[in-house]
Amino acid sequence: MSRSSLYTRLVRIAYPYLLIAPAMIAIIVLIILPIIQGVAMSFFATMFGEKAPFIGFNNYLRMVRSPDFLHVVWITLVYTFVSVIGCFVIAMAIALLSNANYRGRVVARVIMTTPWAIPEVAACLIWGWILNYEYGVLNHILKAVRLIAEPVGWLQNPKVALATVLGVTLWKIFPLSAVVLLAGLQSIPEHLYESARIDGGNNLQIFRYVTLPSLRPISSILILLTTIWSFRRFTIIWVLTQGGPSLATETLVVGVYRSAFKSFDMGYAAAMAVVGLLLSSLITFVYLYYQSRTESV
Amino acid sequence: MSRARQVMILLLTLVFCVAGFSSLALAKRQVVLEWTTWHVNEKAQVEFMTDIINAFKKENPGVDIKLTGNPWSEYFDKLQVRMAGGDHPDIFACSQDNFTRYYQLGFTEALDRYIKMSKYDGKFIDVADLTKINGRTYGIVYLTLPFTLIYNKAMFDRYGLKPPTTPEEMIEVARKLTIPGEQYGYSGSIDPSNPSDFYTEILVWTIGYGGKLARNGLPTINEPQNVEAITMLKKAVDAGIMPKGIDRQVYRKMQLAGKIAMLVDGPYYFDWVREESEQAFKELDSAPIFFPNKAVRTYTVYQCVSKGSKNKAIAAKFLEFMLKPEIQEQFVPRVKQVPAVKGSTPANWVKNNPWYHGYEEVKHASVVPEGLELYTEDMKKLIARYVGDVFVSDKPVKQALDECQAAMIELLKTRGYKFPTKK
Repeated sequence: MSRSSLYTRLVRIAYPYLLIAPAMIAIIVLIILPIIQGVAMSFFATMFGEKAPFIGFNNYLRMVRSPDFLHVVWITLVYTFVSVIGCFVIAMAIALLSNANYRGRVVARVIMTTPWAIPEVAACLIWGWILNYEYGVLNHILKAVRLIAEPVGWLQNPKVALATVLGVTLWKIFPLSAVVLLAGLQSIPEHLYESARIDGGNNLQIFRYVTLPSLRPISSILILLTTIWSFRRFTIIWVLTQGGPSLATETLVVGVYRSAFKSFDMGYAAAMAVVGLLLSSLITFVYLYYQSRTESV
Repeated sequence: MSRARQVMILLLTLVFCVAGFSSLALAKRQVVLEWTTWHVNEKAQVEFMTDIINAFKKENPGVDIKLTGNPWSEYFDKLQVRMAGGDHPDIFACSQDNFTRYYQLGFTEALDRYIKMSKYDGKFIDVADLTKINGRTYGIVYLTLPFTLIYNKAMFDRYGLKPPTTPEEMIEVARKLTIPGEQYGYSGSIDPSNPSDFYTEILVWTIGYGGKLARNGLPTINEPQNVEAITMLKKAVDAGIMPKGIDRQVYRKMQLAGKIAMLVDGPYYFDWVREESEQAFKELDSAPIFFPNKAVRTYTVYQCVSKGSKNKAIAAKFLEFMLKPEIQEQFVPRVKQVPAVKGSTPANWVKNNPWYHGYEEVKHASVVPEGLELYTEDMKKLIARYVGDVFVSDKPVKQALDECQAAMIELLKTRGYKFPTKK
């Protein structure tokens, strides 16, 4: 083989890798290396800015022994699960409504995306006022229509705080899912619906046997992404309740932030972050495994 | 090249070299310090600090001081990140909450090498001065913020009431001034969703009852004085005299609008009210806090020289410059905050500003748990978590404080804290 043809062959092999190299370097430097560093930090008693001794699994043991840790994990799982399911159901309903043909559909679609368009912090501050115990418009309306006798501490009462935060979360996140599902609905061939109607299927049967299966690929990705985003959601919870009252809304991410930047306990925060990473990876793996099994059947 | 051109080039080169060396020499002679603080958005503070800088520069030609910083909400995070990265300001402000942490992280320089601290013994106001550690001083008290009772005297006059002198009296007076939904007799931060503000309100009452959250490095959250204090605060909340779900920024504005009769805050509050409304300012007055012991929570701000500073001696000299009587006597008139040195407030200023009288005869108490300063943030979180249950779930006070105490001890054990042995 001549030198020039060997060179050409080498270039042809290396060329695609050279093209993706900048992106790979960025991913390694900005994502992989920090993850490795975080995992390493979790084995040290690192306080902010200082070198610390190696303590092995002590941070993890401390986490497991903490009476609040299981509670925080539970809240995280509940928050994630309800966000994902709730978002999907609401988004599907809105997408189906938006897909119908009626006057003003375009305006309805624009209004539907408004929650997503409002900056998250601004939206949460406004919701904070709507839900205010003393002066919130929600309590005022509910009292006026005699649904409640006394104001409700939507964000102050531990029994309702999580449900309230979930409500705000669903309001904020459903538009994106609705838009994606709407795009999916519009790509379903019309002849499938016609065939189903000819075969005598009612609306529910058409939805179950035509619409849902056709949306499966897009739904899989959507549910996976919503799960990952919900697992690591911080802004809504922090602005509304800061994880309170009485840890009623404290998720792993909020706990990590508090440990790292309020208590300066970086090693412990890193350990919590590692646990969060493992949990979200496990959820993702189980979901993808289930998906692949379903598809192969 | 012609001879003339050669000479011209040589001369120009010489001129540039001389100029370059001169500026280098000038740069070497001029020392530039960086002073970082969170007061950068407070007009009165910035003006005052700038005047201090200018006065120092006048006495110390060749020294320049740049005032930098971020607003309070971002200041500590950004300071910690930059110092952890090796970028140290020469002088930085810090508070009681985090001074001990910064000392532990090695951010603070001992000042005893540069300042004869013994000449200030007994001269600073009576707050817990955390800056002295193992016989060495790591910061200067810059100012303090005592929090006492501020009340709307126009509202009081309308109802024929006088400022209360006991907690029971306060509740009774506040009840008379309360019209639910319209105006309230008292306000404080009783929402545990905001641990810092909630902790602040808890301290007002525990300090007033002579309680402490820790003594000599041992948590004392459930001591009888604290139980009594929180029980009384719960009574105040249940009496309906306080608006719920409101944070400090909002209830300050409510008092401005004449919707809240009493609150507890620092002397800077009057400056803020005056800027917003001259009328509202005229209606306000301060009074001794409504606890018999007259003890008030006092927030202390320190100025420290950074260990990474390249100009430690000059930075320390600047800190000592701020302790001069002519600087100290300007603190209250200009920024409405109490200076480090006792008796610095000019008597004629107090006479001309009668609203200040409530701050004169106060007994200062620290905001950080004694001996557990490093764990202040953890304490705040636990207080919000357990004591908050008293107000959101009607948990019995003793039970809540016992649980909080147990949680604090457990936390200290898991952190490897060495409990002091009882003598």
